[in-house]
Amino acid sequence: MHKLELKKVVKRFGEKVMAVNNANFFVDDGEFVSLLGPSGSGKTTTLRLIAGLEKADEGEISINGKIVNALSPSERDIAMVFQSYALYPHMSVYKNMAIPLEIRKVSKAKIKQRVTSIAEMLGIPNLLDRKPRELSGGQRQRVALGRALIREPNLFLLDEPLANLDAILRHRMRGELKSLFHHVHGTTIYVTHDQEEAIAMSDRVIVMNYGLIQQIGAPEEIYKRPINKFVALFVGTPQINIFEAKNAKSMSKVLSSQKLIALEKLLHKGKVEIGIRPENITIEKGPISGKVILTEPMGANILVSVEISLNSERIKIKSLVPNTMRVSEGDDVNLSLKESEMLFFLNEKRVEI
Amino acid sequence: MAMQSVNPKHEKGYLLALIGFVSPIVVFFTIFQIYPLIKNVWFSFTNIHNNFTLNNFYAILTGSSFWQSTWITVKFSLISVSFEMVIGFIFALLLNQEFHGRKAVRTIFLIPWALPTAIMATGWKFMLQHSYGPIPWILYWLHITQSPPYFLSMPKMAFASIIMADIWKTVPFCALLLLAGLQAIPRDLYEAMEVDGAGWFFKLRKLTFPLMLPAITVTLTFRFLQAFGVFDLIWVLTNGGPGNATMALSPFIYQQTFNWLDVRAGAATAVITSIYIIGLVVVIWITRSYVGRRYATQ
Repeated sequence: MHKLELKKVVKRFGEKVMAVNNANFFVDDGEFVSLLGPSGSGKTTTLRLIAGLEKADEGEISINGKIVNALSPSERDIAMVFQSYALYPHMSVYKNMAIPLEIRKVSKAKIKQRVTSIAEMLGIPNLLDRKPRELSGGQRQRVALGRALIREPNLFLLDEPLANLDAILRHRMRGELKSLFHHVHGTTIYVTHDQEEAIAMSDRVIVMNYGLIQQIGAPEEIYKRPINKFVALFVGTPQINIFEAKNAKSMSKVLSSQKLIALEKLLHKGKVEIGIRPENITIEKGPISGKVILTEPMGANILVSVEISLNSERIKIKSLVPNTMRVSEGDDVNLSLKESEMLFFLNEKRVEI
Repeated sequence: MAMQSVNPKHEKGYLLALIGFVSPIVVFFTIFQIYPLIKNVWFSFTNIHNNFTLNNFYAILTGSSFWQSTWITVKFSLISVSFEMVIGFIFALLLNQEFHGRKAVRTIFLIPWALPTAIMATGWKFMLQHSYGPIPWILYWLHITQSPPYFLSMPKMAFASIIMADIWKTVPFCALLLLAGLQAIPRDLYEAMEVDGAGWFFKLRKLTFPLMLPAITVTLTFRFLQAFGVFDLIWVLTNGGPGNATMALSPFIYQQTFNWLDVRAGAATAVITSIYIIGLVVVIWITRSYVGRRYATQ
């Protein structure tokens, strides 16, 4: 039995907008699963459907094997962290965290004990008397987490909890969150538009776009074997290089003869594109000559943009090289593309060749 | 010069323009607000020979009419404002729900409040009139009463009628102010509390009410000020009668000043009423900060 399961779930807004289109997935006990997608992809709506804040138009949502479509949010026994944190502005931090237990009529002594221990765990025991408006963004975020962690719900639902933090804090909290939810063995669904976050934190990632689930898989699978061009482009920084293979001849410098034959066959079926991530391209020696047009130092690495010409067409390719390399704009370089890491897309869908 | 931001060349013209724009309101305000106010206070502390005296106050405070009017005003304010706040709050909660045609309903809902009081009071007077008004006769025809009741000529009924008319007129105003307060509460707070397991009453008690305190205070202040100064409604509907049964403070001041031409008695009553109202505002705001603090320390 899965902890959470969605079967053919559909949510429409009005007549035309399919916010969630036939969502099927499950989450197992203790898993940390991300819903990843650009804004408007339906990920937050999916989360709200699970929470019961929106009602599904079609399909089944079950928690612990029990269909919960008709249950209100309060009956589903879930905890949610909102993007805005949704802290109660007139209540102290202590009270904010105590509310879920107070609603369940837990004794005052037990509430105190629980709030204190959660506050210790989150490193905010000194803030319990403060009001939300007296806290920094990061502190508010911890209080919101505390309010979710205060009880042991079926599911933790996190709606972009790091989106409103500054970059340094966001990076730090990423790791903290991961170990926190691992520590409490919570089943967690995490909505984010930040692919780095999803890849870094999750056991599995569900990529969505236009209300449709594109791919479900472990982070490295999503990264290495994206199911289509959208996922390939959306996941991974720096972004993957994708260029069209118009004919086999133009690719003769890029592909081995074996692959060229396969490509030839593929070209009869439709539009073929080749994708390769920047880290799989070297610029020291190789069959393709080009000119460096831009270098972007990224700390340990340098992202080098190179203009090459395949047959008569000029295309821009990005390569990620170690920062020990001396390279500057205007240099002539020779590219080599790692063929084993190439991805082939036929009509935007990835195919093995 | 002091005004550094102004080009010195233009300074004279600028000042002239300033004076030109501001003077009409200053003149208006002085003639129609400040002068009467000062004159009123002057009247209240002087006798007919323009000598200082406290006799005006003494006469009022030792007579029974003033105290009766005070009591009527307090009763009227407390009863009507309580009803208006409760009913207004319920309507605000209803109007805050999503439903088809909400905007239209909200607009129509405001009509009673938008009507000039004198006109709506005339309407009520007609409706409640004993010999031909629809309300007494409908009550009679439906056998709710044994004869068409006298609404405006029996002391208690007249008082109730005034309260009823005031509620009818002012509930939309309260509802609208409270609705604005309701809509200022972020929706995700409710969602968070729902997810945390709260039912509607818990949300009302722990979220809606405390976060509505500012809006409630403003509405209460407005309403008490208006109710304490009620004049036109009473003057049109009952003329303060029957007897003096509905003679609130403002009609009483009018009666003293313009019917009995006892300007100094009227002025003294007006001064005391002002003190009442200032006291009232202070009480409301002290209560508010006390209630607010109580919620804060929870």
